[in-house]
Amino acid sequence: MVLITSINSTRSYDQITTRIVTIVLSIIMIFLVESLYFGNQALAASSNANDDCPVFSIKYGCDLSSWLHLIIDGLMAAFLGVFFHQLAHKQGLKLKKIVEEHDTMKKRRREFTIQALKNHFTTLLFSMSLINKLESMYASDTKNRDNIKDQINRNYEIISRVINDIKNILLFLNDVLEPQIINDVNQLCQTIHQGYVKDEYKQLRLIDYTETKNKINSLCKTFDELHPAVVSIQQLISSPRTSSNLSSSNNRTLKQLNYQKIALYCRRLFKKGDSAN
Amino acid sequence: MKILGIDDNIDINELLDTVLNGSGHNFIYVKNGIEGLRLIHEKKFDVVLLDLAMPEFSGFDVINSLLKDGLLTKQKIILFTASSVLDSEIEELIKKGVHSCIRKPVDIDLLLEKLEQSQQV
Repeated sequence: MVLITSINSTRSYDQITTRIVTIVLSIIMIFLVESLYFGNQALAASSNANDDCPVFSIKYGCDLSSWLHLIIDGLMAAFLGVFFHQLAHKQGLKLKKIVEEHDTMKKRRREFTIQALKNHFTTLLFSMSLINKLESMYASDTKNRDNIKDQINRNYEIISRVINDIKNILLFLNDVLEPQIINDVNQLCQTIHQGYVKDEYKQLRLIDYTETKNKINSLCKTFDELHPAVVSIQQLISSPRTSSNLSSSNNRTLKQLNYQKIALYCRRLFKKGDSAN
Repeated sequence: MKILGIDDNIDINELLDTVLNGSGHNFIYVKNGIEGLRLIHEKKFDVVLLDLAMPEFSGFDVINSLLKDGLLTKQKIILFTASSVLDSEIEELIKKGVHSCIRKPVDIDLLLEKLEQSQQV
């Protein structure tokens, strides 16, 4: 918290300094342009061109102020050109930095989404596999049926919650996923959910584990094809801010905070989604 | 087999607890890298299932700490991760002393098979 406050204060201090420098430079610039303009006008007014001395003539006894005007105008143009070029360059760099930060953030959000989905798929596979095993036990072990049934129901609850979480991920983090993946994950959820709903009527119903496992595996292949890992995960996990001049220890803490921030943000979104449901 | 799970995902930890303890293994789990590192220092495990992406102290931090303490080659670490780890990164970690990597999602049978294989090597 203290770190965030100090970073924010450093940032705001930098922003204020930059603004002050820009304002001062602008005032100096206006002053220079104005003084040069009026000086130029005064020189032009004081010059007396005649037939013997055309405007850009260099002769003995002729007024050379036209040349001076030209030089001053040229200098002004060059000065303005450099000034606006620098301004545009600076703005360009700022925009580039913003785009890069946005891109890094998007990559991190995508990585977080894929990680969360894969974790949920693992939970689904484990739960479904357990249900499968427990159901075969339910048929043979008549003594512990109540206990087995409780365990089966508990796993069904986990599946239901995980499907809900996956739907929330698709709802709130769909901007970082390819439409095909969203569609496939939705279909998977529907398949499992249908089995789960039917179970409420039939008490015990074997979810087609092999089919779901195959679907999950093919989905993960699609993940890897459409969102291949091109950035080192070590960098994504522990170094989210590539363009920062903070000290390495601060940087590291900040990176961890960023990771936590994304996780907290997503959790908050999920909570909102749950309350909306 | 004495197995330690280091993962911030509670569902996976609890399910692994049911599955692995039900399969005759001795499985315990912790939810973050710091606790995991402490346990590795205190006790000897046959296998450590380590997740990479954890908020406070990541799996990479655990590996680096173990490497620093010279425990990485003594302790059998299997990465159990959902992160999109590059193959080159895994190779690099294996060179450092990590045993192998199991990518999530994985089904129970395959996980048990991999654990058995790790003991045979």
